[in-house]
Amino acid sequence: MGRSQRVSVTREGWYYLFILAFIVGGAVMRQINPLFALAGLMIAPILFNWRFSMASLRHIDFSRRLPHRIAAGEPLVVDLELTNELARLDAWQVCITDDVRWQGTTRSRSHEVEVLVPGIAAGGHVRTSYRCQLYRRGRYHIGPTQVRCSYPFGLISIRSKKQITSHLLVSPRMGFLQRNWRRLIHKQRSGDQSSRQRKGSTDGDFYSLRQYRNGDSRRWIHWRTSAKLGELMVQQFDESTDQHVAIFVDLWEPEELTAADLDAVELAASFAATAAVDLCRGNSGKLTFSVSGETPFFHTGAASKPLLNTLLDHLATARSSSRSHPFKHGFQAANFGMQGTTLLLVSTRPPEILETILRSESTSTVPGPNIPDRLHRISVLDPEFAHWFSISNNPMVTQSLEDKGSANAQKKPATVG
Amino acid sequence: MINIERVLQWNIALIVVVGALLLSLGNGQYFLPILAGGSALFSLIFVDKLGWFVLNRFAANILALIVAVIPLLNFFDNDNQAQLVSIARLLIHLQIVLLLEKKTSRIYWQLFILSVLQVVVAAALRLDLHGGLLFAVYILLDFSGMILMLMQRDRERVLQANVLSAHAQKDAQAMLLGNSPARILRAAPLASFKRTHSARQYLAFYLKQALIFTLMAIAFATFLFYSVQRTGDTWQGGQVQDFSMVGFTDSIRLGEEGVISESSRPVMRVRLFEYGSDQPFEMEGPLFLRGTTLHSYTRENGVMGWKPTRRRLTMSLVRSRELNNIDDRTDYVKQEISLEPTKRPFLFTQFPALAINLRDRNRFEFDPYRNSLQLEEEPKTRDELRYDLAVMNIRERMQSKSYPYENPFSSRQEPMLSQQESELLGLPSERTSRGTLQYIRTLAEEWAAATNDPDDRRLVSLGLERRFQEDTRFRYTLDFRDVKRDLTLDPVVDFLKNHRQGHCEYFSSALVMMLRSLGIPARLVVGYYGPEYNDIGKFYQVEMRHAHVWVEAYMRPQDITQEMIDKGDASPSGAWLRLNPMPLNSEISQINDNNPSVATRANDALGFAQMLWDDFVVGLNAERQQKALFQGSMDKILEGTYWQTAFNATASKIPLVKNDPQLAVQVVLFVLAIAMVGYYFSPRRQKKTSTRRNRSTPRTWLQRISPRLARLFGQTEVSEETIVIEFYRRVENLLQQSGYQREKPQTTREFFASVSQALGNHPEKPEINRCLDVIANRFYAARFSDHELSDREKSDVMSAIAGLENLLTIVPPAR
Repeated sequence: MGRSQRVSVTREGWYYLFILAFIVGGAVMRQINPLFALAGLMIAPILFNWRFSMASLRHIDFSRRLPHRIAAGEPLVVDLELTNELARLDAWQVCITDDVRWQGTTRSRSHEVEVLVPGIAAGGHVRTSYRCQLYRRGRYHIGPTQVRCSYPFGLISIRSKKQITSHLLVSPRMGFLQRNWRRLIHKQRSGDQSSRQRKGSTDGDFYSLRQYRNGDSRRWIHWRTSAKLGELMVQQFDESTDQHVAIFVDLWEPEELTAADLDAVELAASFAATAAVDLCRGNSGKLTFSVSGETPFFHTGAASKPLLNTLLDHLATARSSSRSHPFKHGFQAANFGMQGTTLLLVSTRPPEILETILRSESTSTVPGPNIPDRLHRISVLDPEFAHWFSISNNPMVTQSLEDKGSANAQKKPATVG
Repeated sequence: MINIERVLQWNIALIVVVGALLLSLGNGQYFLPILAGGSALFSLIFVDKLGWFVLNRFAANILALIVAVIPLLNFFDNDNQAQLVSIARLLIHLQIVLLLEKKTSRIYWQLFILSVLQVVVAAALRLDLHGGLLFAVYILLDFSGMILMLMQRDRERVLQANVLSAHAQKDAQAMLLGNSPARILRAAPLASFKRTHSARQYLAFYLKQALIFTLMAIAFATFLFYSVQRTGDTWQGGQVQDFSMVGFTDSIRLGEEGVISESSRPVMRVRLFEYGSDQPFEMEGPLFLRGTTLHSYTRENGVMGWKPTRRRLTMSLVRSRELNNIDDRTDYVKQEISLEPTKRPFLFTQFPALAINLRDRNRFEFDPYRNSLQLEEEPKTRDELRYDLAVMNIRERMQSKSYPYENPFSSRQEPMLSQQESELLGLPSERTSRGTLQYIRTLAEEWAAATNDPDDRRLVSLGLERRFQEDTRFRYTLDFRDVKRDLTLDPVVDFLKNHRQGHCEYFSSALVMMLRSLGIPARLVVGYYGPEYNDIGKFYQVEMRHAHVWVEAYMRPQDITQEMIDKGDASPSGAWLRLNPMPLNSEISQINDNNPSVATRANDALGFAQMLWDDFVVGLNAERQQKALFQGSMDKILEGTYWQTAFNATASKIPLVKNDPQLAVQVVLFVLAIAMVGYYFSPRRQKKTSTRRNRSTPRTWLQRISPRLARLFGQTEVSEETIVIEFYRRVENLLQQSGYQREKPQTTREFFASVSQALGNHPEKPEINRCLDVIANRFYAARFSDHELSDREKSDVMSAIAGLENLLTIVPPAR
């Protein structure tokens, strides 16, 4: 980590120096002894301030801790730890300024966060923290950090830049899944399928270790851990359930972007993230996610925490693209031809364009029968989307959207299968 | 509860008051500090605390403008001193205006700056010892004020940022509840501060540090002060005293009423050195310091009084001249006088006096008619005046009763001429004195007749003096409230005939007039008498209250003896006989107390400190700096034998060293060895060492010597592994406090799953699950893997624990 110290005179320090110059001038020119004494007494604070602040900052070590990822809108707590390596000198009134910068496609905007630490004892350390609320998803850089001290008199300020940079991913904001979603998922869960695929006990992901009990298979004994602990420990696996959900997120943007288009992209990402969290919470079934956009993403697996983490990491930085194709990775007939797989397409295209694309899609990539009919598709720009997802829990907004939706429903046929 | 800002307000108020007090100590006018103190108190209560009265910015600016303009109206008409005082007053008024405004960091800083500027002016005007001590207090207040202002500025910045963040959060909430809530997804990030610690708990440390900084600053300033080379004389302040305040006056008016107050204001310091000695000595008897003489008793504006002379013609014939130089004489006492700044050119000394140091800048001139010493012209600077003279009438540490007469009109040693005699025999006319001078004449003759030889002028003069001293009917007083006067009589006659109460002017006036009525030329002498000797500083401190009037009577050649001439108390032309007709039982006569009390000692110490302050602080010039500091001290320090002598002198006072030096050395070595061992095992050093060795906690003495014994006392080392798993224990404790108890066979994940199940449909459940997931993952990673948790992983855990802790406070406990 690099450190560079910069000395500057504060505004108050300049006023002080001006008066000091006046006093020194008067003392020297008129040989006024009390002014000599006063000048000496006024020079001392500047020297003390300079040396004290310099010595304090030179021996302050700094570290920052923050989570790897948070959701947008969620409070971010950044822990700071300052250590005073000096054995005999306390450090006082230390200001730490962190630079929080969003790394987007547009020019990065930064925001400074300042934390004041009144005192760090000699040889001691202080843990402090600050709270942030970041509403925009993406990648953030936090740092470099500036540590500043003007103690004791505020005349001289010493700044030290610590080149400690941390990275933070902010995943899309969690919203509120509405009745259409609940209907879709509840229908799947309530046994509407005619068959359930049974899975063996070996299927699924490892997620825990526990003590051996009578009846456990010896194949699942984790010998290394058992040797370490001196008792038998077996692995536990996650058993998959029958629900299979495949969600396709089409992050499309027109050639000429408007604010509504950008909002649509964010809404789609938030919906995807919220849906993923909802699906992974129950830890049941298989989940497939396909996110198209600037950097397409496709992942399938058991609905689990690791999958969720991977998805949220990607959604944090997913960008829309005008070349986005909703079925980039295509339908894998072997997987999605089976009955029981819930298919949902969320797109940022206008509803009419979406329908057009779906109809014109070559069936050669979709060998299964009736797949387009089984595919639930919804455009974020469609007022009906309010029945699927809402970013806020404002009943008035929801009601107005429902009113719009019902008004549109009278005009257009339903698009939901 | 202690509030930083409140402490700062008090501090600033004290700065304003003490600053105003510093100015007043120089000019003796205390209206401004009273005004400043009242304003500060008003501000603290009604402006800062209650907020009942606050001057807005516009009104304050107008008021400040008025306050600044009014003194400027006649600013340029005043002299330099008055201009400086005017500036200082203006600065105090501006501070008062600022005190009435609502306090912000800017206002505090402005108050501070104005106060410093005003103290600069006060220091330039006059700063005596009391001011110097108060100055140290002022500096302490300044330092603590600067520290508090820094804390206040930081605090205000944090508060302001919190307010902005609160607004931003409200905007975000409004956005969420608005018609386009999705817009928030693209809103700029906002941040909020968290005030991590209250600075109140550190207030005592800050103020203690202010004291330490003050002492260090004083030490530094002292070093700098004495290191900077002075170039010549220094300006010692210009608070000049008017003679009328000093007590000394060159004219007297009789017939006052009421009480006359005395002042202890210092006038001068006098040191006496015998020839060839550099040690000052104290006289056996009282000290008389002559100023000037008053010859003529006349009525002016209906009041009788004394004036220097009414014979202008006489004065025009007498030319002042320089004092004679000392040449090769050795029968003198050196007299060093430091006189406070004065507007008048009079100087004080004893006679006869010869010149030792003549300074070109302030040339002395000697008036042989009045035997007075003065400067050629009014002093050029407002400096303290120092002059050394050789006086001839102190023998065996006693001041002679008489000194030789020198005829001012003749270079030959001739007696007093008739024209001078006639002036010194002058009495007011019967019409002027209302025809009552006959009483004086009669009384004088009566008292003269009681002496041994009524024809011996010397004996008659001494007899009259003794009569005043011993007659118990006469009483010294300064309080004329109960004195009944007869206004139809001359005041001196009234004094002699009726009330017989008065001060030195009355007694001396009466004696002069009685002597004159007997044909003995006599005059009043105005000067100083009976100052106390400062035993510590070895000097006489003359104060205003020591102003005195006594009598000199002329003795003709036939009235003196050869012995007097031989001793130097007279000349062939005659002599001036000093007479002090004060009652012996009066306070003014009780001097030279041989058993000084504690208060006297304390007073002496204070006087000595004042002298040091005047000489080596306010009055430090090039000459004094060179002689006392550079040459005096440095020569000693550089001298090799000085240290050896000092060491021997110190060591000889320690009994062990004196009796058995070898044992003393062994004791010292033993103590040093114990100290080194103690330092080696000291916790502070261990802490530094353990930090270098990546220990999490330093080892105590006991742990280093015997870990087993240390464990008995509960001092256990904490290992890294324990610390790592410790976070899981903390989580278990947290959950336990909320009623979630882990069953024995439950794994971590099973335990957390049961907690999640118990939460039911609580809205915070997803968040709690997320925290528990993180904790469980990290726990397993730490518990079963080979590598330590990375910083990021540790940070995840700590954040999750913090989040869990918060959430559990709002989740109802498990049943």
